[in-house]
Amino acid sequence: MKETLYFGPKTLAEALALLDKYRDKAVIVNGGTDIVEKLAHRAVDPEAIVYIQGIPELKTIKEEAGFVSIGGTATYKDVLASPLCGKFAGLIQSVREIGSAPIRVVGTPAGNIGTAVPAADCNVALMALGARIVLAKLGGERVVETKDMFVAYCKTQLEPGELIKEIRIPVTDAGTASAFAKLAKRKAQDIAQVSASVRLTAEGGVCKDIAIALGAVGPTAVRVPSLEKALVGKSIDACLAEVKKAVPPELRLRNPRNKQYKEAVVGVLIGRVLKAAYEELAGGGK
Amino acid sequence: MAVDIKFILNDKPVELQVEAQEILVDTLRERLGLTGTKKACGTGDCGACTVLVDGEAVRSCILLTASVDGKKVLTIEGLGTVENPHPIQQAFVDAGAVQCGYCTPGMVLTAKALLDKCPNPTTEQIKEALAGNLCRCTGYTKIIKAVKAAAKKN
Ligand SMILES: Cc1cc2nc3c(=O)[nH]c(=O)nc-3n(C[C@H](O)[C@H](O)[C@H](O)COP(=O)(O)OP(=O)(O)OC[C@H]3O[C@@H](n4cnc5c(N)ncnc54)[C@H](O)[C@@H]3O)c2cc1C
Ligand code: FES
Ligand code: FES
Repeated sequence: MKETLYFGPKTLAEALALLDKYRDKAVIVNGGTDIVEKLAHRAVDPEAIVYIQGIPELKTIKEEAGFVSIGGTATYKDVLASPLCGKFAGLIQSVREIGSAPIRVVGTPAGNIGTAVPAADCNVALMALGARIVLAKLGGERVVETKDMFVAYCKTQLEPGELIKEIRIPVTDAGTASAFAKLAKRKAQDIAQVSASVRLTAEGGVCKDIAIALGAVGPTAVRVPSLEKALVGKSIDACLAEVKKAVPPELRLRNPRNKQYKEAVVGVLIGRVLKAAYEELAGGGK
Repeated sequence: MAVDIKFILNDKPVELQVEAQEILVDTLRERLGLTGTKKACGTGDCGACTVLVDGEAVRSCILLTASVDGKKVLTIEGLGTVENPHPIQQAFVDAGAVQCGYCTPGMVLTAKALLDKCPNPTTEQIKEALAGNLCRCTGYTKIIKAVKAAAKKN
């Protein structure tokens, strides 16, 4: 058996060179809260482990050209401590729901994207916020919208040699707010049965623009354009009445065991986040 | 390829060769004989394997040993001794917060990380900090009491 190599690059350039060299034989370890268990049990057995938490340039959270940019190794703890991220209530609410404090100390939004489970909390919030994911590789970069990032169950657009360099969330003005909520069996440290996040722009009690994202209702997190289109131009009260019983066609539930439950609660949960975002707006917005 | 690492373990420098996939809980228990750190779920869920890395409570069962290179690790063995227990350990004993004891090292270290940052936590803050540490014996009430008592003593 060939022994796995371990690399702890200190710069992005070094990391990209390693990823370019080992391509699909390399595995990135960030906080490791998803991947280390698989490595330890050899469920994933790469030629090279590239541990990226030691790259300071990827750890920053900054505001630049209309975006708040979260670096590829910034942890949930960093996000919660950042006043820039504090502008996005939906993001903060999703991160607070993730695991427990010791998971949030090391776990990262980039790793949530990398794992791409349909119930990933941060991904759902980022999707509603219209975040863009910057993928870097040796000699180039591309930008992917969160809504286009997840192509199948636990599969993203990320290609061999690529690394999530940053996550850019568009900054919005005072007329826009966001929220996130999840339903789980336990209060702490539990995976979502269904999660929902919304970014709402409203004026005079009327929905001007809305993005809705759902988690755990299919093989990937999804946006819900059918409902989004139906709500624009309506009063918030009318929106709340409409979403309550909604079972959007974007749901792709196969398991009969939980299909009925998820269909019954999804509208209620969308209503909850819509109301929370609207209340934040009414309270001055952030 | 073995990886050469250096770190500070319980205030003493350690130099080791580890495998790329090696996890810290195994290194501590099986190679360094520090069995105070427990391994229960092995998936990051229960908190039995909690150690402090650079002052933060983390799960050593989902942490690559190689990644603690250059860092400071504190295990329960570095906190107090039987003759001279740390105030948090004494508070657990006084409050009867220990039954089988399997969760205790993780609880005590998580409490230490909390109290180092927040010397006078509210009950809510204690619950929040310990939310990822499972105890199947005590029902948590006495653990929370112990953390409060330890905070008072400080
Ligand atoms: C006890 C426990 C509770 C949890 N609770 C929740 C929860 O409530 N909600 C939730 O959503 N998740 C939860 N998780 C899952 C996990 O913590 C999150 O998905 C976390 O965001 C993963 O981040 P990480 O940095 O630890 O990822 P890692 O494990 O380091 O990596 C995950 C994957 O992403 C890839 N990757 C990481 N960073 C990059 C990058 N910069 N570029 C390219 N690829 C990258 C890795 O190669 C790997 O495939 C929990 C996990 C545990 C152990
Ligand atoms: S053994 Fe590590 S969290 Fe349970
Ligand atoms: S004392 Fe037995 S698990 Fe907590």
